[in-house]
Amino acid sequence: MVSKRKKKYSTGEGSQFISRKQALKKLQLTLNDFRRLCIIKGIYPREPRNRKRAQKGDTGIKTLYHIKDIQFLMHEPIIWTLRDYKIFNRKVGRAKAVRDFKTMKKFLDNHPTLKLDHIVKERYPTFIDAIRDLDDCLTLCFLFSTFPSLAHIPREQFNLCRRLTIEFMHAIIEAKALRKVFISIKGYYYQAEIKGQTVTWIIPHHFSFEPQSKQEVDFKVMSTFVEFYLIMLGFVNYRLYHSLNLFYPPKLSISTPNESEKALVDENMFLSERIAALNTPLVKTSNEPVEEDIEIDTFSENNPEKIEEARNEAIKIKKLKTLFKGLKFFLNREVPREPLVFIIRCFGGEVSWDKNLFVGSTFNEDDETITHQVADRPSLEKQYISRYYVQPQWVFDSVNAKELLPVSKYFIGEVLPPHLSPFVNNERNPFEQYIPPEERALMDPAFAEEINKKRQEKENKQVDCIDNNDELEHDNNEIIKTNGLEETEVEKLDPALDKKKKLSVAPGTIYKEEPWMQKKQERQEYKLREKMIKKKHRKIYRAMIRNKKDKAKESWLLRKKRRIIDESKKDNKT
Amino acid sequence: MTVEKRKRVSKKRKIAWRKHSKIKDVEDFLEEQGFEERIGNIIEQKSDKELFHLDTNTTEPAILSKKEKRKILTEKPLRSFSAFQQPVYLNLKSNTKRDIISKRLQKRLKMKAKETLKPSEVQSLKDTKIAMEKKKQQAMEDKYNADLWITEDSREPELQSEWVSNSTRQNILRGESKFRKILPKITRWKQTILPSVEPPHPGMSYNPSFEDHQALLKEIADKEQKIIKEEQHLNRVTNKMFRKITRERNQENWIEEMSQGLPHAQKEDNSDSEVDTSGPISVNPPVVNKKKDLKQRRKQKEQQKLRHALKLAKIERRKVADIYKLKQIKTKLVKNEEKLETLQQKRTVKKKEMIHKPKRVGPKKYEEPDLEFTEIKDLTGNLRTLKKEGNLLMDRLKSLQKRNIVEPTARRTKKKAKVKQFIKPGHKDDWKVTVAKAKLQPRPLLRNKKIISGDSF
Repeated sequence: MVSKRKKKYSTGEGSQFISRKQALKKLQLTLNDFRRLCIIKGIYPREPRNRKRAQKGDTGIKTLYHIKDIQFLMHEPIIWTLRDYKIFNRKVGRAKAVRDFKTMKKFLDNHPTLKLDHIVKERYPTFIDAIRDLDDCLTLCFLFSTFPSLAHIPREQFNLCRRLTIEFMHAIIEAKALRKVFISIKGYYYQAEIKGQTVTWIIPHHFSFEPQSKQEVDFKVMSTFVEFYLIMLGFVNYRLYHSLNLFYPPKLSISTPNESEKALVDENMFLSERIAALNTPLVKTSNEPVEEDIEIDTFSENNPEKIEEARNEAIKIKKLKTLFKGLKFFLNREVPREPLVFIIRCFGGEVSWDKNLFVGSTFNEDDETITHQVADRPSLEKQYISRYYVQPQWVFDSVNAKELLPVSKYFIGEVLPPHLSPFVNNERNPFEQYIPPEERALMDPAFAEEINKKRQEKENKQVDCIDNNDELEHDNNEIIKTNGLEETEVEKLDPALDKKKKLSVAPGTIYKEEPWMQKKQERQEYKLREKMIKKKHRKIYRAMIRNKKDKAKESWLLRKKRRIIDESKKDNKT
Repeated sequence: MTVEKRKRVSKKRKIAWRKHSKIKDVEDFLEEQGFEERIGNIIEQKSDKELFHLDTNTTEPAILSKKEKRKILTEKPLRSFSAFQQPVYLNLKSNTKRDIISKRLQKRLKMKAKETLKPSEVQSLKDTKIAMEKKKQQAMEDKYNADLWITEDSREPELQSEWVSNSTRQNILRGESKFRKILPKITRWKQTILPSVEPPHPGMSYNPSFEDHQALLKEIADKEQKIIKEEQHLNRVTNKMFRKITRERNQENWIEEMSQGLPHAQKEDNSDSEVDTSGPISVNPPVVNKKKDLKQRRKQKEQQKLRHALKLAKIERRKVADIYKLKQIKTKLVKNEEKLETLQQKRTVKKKEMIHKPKRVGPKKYEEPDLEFTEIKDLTGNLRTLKKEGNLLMDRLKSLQKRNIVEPTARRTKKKAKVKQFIKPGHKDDWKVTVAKAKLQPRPLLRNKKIISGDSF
């Protein structure tokens, strides 16, 4: 018997994909409903390996979905709600057309609602998964919270965005989870660490809404994203609040402004109330401290350096959490309040502002205990001696440097140092990559001290009128030392030292393990180990080392150039 | 009374409609109703109490002096600030639909309290009350009232234990409301490794260091240069490839092309071609369908067989010879393998690169948005005078497109269908003048018109 002939595209890639039109037909949905469903369920179009085969011989470019994705969508109960919507719209439309407003209102009162809780749970099986995907959600919600009400988007969505974002900010404040901040021309970038996951989001600058002329962005699509994200953010907030021993939903106690205060308000009321809410601590369910700080175990692993590094990082973060503790800030009115209040409160500081301008201020300007006043104008008429007058960038830079920076560079009227991004790869190794000394000083304070010392030394030397040549050599040596690769060569450079050691006889001294000998030994061992590398990995290892060396060389060269430039500048000055 | 015989008239046209439709009774009725509405119901039947009421309210509006009025005015906020004021919500008493219904409900309850209600009416009243309360409570409740990541566990503790395998759990739950299809593996896999919020370029800082700013500028300039180069290339390859000719020459060419094959264009050649047509059309001799005879056929078959045999013999000979060519074959194989390997390497490299690039998911290609950048003259270095750049919403959309969550689309504007407008025949001119009045006016005027029109001719 002859077996049945196999049809083309019935197996393999040809059978794995389904075009959008086919999917619509299969699910019996309109395009809009399908889009909505896909966004909510997290099903995206795909690119096949071989398009022609996936499209069953068609060479044009179609939007393709995986057949399993679509089959999965078929099981979703909210499809029925979407179909109900269709019927509902028809009914309402009919009632409206025949001007039967009584039944129309009856329909409108019982409109079908989408319930998305189970989808959040399905897409994010664990809480950590949800946090991992929070970036998009936060950025969109923060953006929508600044928008005015728009056509085709339910108004409650904007209100909910405002509520949930403020709740989230409170959770961050309570958890002291903020790590990095950055002011870009686009908006404020924030990075927090929640449950070990880094979450980054952008908050737009004030007055961010731009009416679009060409309707480049489909607000309806974005609103569908927001619809899902709101549910997700709400439940994340709930969990966060409970893990921090806080009541949810929080009662944001804002002292109701009196008549005179209300009359003076010239900003949007909601905005000032929003910020005022940020300035008040939340009610706690219990005073038990939330266990959080994890002591790093002292395992003797093969790379103790890394453990040390991790421990240092942990200590730094612990310090960062109480960066502004005990400090009292007063914000001048020209300063953007929302980011500053959020940041200062995140690190344990106290904030206030002019009580005549905005609601929610906690202390007055004439309070003598204020330590910093944040102002953004070249000069102030009335100044108190007891406090520093700093520009807002000091707050941001201090957070990024993980310690309180010296205020002298940030006084009002001063030309500010550049605001550097904390998001550039922080694993930059100064020996592998060139980092300008100013930035390196910001990153590690030890280096800054070193630079200062050097400068002083140099000045002293210049007073002593010592030859420049000597100094150059000295610097050269230092650079080679810092490079770390050619240490053995350094030792060779000083043969006199070695000779002395060999010649001098010191009876009775205790045998001391020489650090350099040990290093030498280590080096030799290292070289031996290098030789033991399998043939399979040898090439890649060599490439790696070569790369490292090249980078180090380049960095050294750049530093040398810089030094020469600096010196020439100094010479020109003198 | 004799019933008037209803005359059947065609009311096809407007004039006929106006003439024959009888609306007198309707009009009469409406007028009467209007009159009664204006007057109120029949007054004679009303009592004095209904018609008049005694004004016992003695409080008169306080008459204020000019000074007092001014004093009140001073307490009010300035008119120039009126734009800043919050809108006053006058309806402090909630006037929502729900409240109105509940008020009505209470009224009805009070009224009916004395009378006896039917049991069904009592039930309906109760039901509405319960429904209202339920709705009110639902509105008050918070959507987020449970820990989403715990509740599921507590509901089915025995199913959550580690001894129950996933498939078993599914099997037990099948047919119940709790049953949920497990996400297929292919759906769970993340399709891109691109971050949802990309770290900003350090040059995008509001107060960037010089190096960072220049680096960003260079990046943008490089991109721009690439675009310019591409444009130039396209221009060179298309527009510049063709010679430019004058308009006159173009016209001439066109005429020449269009009049190809027309009799007058080939006038001069006609005499020559006529001579040619008399001779043979082709140089080749005419084809004759000549059949092969049997002998020829046999010979042809023999030849074919011989050729085939020779071919087979040659293959056999080559097989023997190949034994001595083993070395060559080996090198060939090795070369081939090497070639394949390099190809594979290239492919893997390309694959790695493609991971960081958006995929093609729709007919439209993803377009990288421009980088945000402030010019040096706009960099003020302080937060107060910061110049904002970029549209965050657009940025979000582009990010979604880049991660293939949304397919890139061009916004289409619907073309409005052209509606052809025309005037109905009866409305062509001012119908009051041309149609209605013409009927009403006496004849002489019409005649007049005729005369006028006659004059004009």
